[in-house]
Amino acid sequence: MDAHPQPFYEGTKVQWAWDSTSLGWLKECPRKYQYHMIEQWRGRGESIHLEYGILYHAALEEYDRMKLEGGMSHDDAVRWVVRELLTKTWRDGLPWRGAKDLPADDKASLKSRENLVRTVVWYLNKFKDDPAKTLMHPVTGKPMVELHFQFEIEGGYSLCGYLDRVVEFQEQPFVMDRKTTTSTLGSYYFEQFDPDNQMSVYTVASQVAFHTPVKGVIVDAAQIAVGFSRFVRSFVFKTADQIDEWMKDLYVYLEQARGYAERGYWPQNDKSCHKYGGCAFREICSKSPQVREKFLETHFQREPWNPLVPR
Amino acid sequence: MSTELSELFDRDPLHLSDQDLDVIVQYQREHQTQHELGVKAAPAPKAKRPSKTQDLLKELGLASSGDLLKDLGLK
Repeated sequence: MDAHPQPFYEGTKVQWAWDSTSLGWLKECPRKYQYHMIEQWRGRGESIHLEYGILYHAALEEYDRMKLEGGMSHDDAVRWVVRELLTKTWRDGLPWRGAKDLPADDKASLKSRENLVRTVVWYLNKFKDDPAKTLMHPVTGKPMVELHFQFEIEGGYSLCGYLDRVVEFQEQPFVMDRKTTTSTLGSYYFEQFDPDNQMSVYTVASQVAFHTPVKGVIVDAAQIAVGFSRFVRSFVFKTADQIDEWMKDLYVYLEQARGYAERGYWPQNDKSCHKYGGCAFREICSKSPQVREKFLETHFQREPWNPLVPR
Repeated sequence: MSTELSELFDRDPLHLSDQDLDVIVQYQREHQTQHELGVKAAPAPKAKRPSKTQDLLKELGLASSGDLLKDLGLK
């Protein structure tokens, strides 16, 4: 039995604890939200993206902690992080296969163990003297990395999640959000973050939970490609009025989610199926309703997403 | 990836020494430097595929467009 607190009101499908991921699913398509959040279906490629992201984030967080808290030199911290990465990706006496079993045309196929190590070493080498400095928490005195937040908003709801890093850049505080992608890091890639649900959640969180009035978010993206990794940073600025508007919209979405849960029906948004490279459930939704369950069981696995569980 | 590096990746991380890890890190740093300098492995030579025009000419019993031009007195 899952001992963690649940994000739904007991005995209902009404979600009270929301993170940017579950909110993003809801906004994209209520049916996508149903499959992911309510029924906990996850595609194999998605699981690899998720695990790869968690390992990448953990490695960079570990580096920051080793340097800022542990007083390690750059080279010692890099060595430490590589050892940690190799250990975490050593499963049952064998190297983590990651994306090795996926077809080469699957976007996740580049996310391998070797490419993960390469990406982390290259990142730390490129940002050895990072102009964005990690801020220290005003109360705990610890580096502001992988910060869990959870705070109540109106209507009995809570917003929760993690901030990758809070930094000072050119004497201004920013949230830094790390991304890994197999897409090319051009303007097309960065345009998807402005406006974006996640960037707004992070800006609100830094202000409410950590009393750090950030100017916005720095998207710190890593492209994983064949033979190389590449890093580009971009800014998303948020004004107070934009945040107010986002909060106003949020309550509308949360009430919609409550309505779907009370009716026990989450409609398809069939204008979203082909966006963002195509929804993972596009194939499922294209089938007749009576056979969808069978296809889900064949092609997906159940992995709960709980915004209240520390990652 | 070199054989030495592959062997290190395939080894139980508990048996990797600091020197082994330095080999991995050093390899990646050199790889990054080479990439930034634009050094890439030479691509394998591609077999030249005859163009559609050449295929068509062959089907018509003409060896190449050069022959066609010759036949037409234009070359």
